[in-house]
Amino acid sequence: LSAGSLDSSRVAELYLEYAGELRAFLTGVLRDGELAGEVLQATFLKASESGHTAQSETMKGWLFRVAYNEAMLIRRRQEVDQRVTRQVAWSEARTTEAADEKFLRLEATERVREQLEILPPEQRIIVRMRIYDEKTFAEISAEIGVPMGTVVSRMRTAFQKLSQALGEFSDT
Amino acid sequence: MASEISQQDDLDWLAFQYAAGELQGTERDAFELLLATDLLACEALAKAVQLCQAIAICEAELVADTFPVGSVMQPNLETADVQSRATAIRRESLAAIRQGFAQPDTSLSRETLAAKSTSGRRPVAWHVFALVGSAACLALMTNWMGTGQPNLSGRQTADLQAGLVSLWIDGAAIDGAGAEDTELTADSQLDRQSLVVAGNVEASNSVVLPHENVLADGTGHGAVVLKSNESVVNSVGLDSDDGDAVPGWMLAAVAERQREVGAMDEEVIQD
Repeated sequence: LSAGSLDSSRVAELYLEYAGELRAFLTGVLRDGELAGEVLQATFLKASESGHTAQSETMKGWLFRVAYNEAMLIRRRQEVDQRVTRQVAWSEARTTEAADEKFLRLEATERVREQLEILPPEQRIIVRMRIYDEKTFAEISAEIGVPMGTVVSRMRTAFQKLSQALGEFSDT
Repeated sequence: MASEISQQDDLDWLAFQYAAGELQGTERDAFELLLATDLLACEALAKAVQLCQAIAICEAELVADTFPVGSVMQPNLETADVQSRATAIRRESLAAIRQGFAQPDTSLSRETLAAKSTSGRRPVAWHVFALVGSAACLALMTNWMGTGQPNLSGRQTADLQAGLVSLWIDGAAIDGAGAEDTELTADSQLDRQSLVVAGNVEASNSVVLPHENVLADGTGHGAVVLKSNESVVNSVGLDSDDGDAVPGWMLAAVAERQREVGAMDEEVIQD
């Protein structure tokens, strides 16, 4: 370690605390799970090298900013935003998730499943078609014969409920 | 307070739209600018992605439960990156069950099979049920063969074997209608023969379908049992018919059939 760099135990702590959230964030920006994993590694490498420059109370923001900049750099380089072959929902598996990341994800999935089961059918079908079947709102509207505004509104209501369930889990 | 919640909801929704690719042009650029400076926006995006992934996993598991392996309605989960452990185990189990029902190759496409059947979406439990039922039928048949098989002379057996081999090869001789179906292969004609031998001619149109499809219409149960028994016999390494050898149970079935035909002929003569 060079003078002023973060020690490895501190980096490990940061990784345990923020890696899952950072990975999801990077997946959202890059729409590619593998690239997200690479950028995540690069982010923590930077943290170990120059994380000491960030104050501990703003460390999370620092990590996200570094991650975002790294992601945009890669995205510009590879123009991954032009490649829409992979969707966000399917882009996770090939990444190397830590065991506790997986565990947390499974727990979160369980919470979401419970909430999904109690969604009204008209909302549930739209969630399914939009996220799992990867259909656009316009396609869903045409398929089920409901105005697009209604489709978006139902999706938003369902999203709020599901998001709340996930948020409650994160808070615990 | 209420406005804070509303703002957070708006941000969450915006993040979801970004993650889902619904934002275009200036909207997308504006949100990316927000990501560069606002930690809340970053957190909202992370949460939206985690939520989408969790929903996708739940839906994938639901699909694996709803559509049996091999159903043409089943999405191609092989290409899906996200598979929960539970789903993977379930799929492996289904594949193992399906191997137990291994069938000879047929030229019928899955689409054709689906068109012939309205039962593409059989629940998983039916596979297990069919397997258990088949095993029970095998046990019964084995028992019957051991105690009630007709005592045939060598000449009778030779005649039966010759007859069966010709039946086995030339399906059209028994069921001319089936031969007109250009989609049927030799293998599927064998299936029809199996039915005819078992005295279940009226169900012969359904026997060419895979088990999960045949089970649904209720007309091919005899055929299902018969074929399932073959599969079970093959899968457990018992006395299987490998090619030209005529299985004992078939000899017995045809002998029974001949006795019936003979009895019917005698009645006709007497009339």
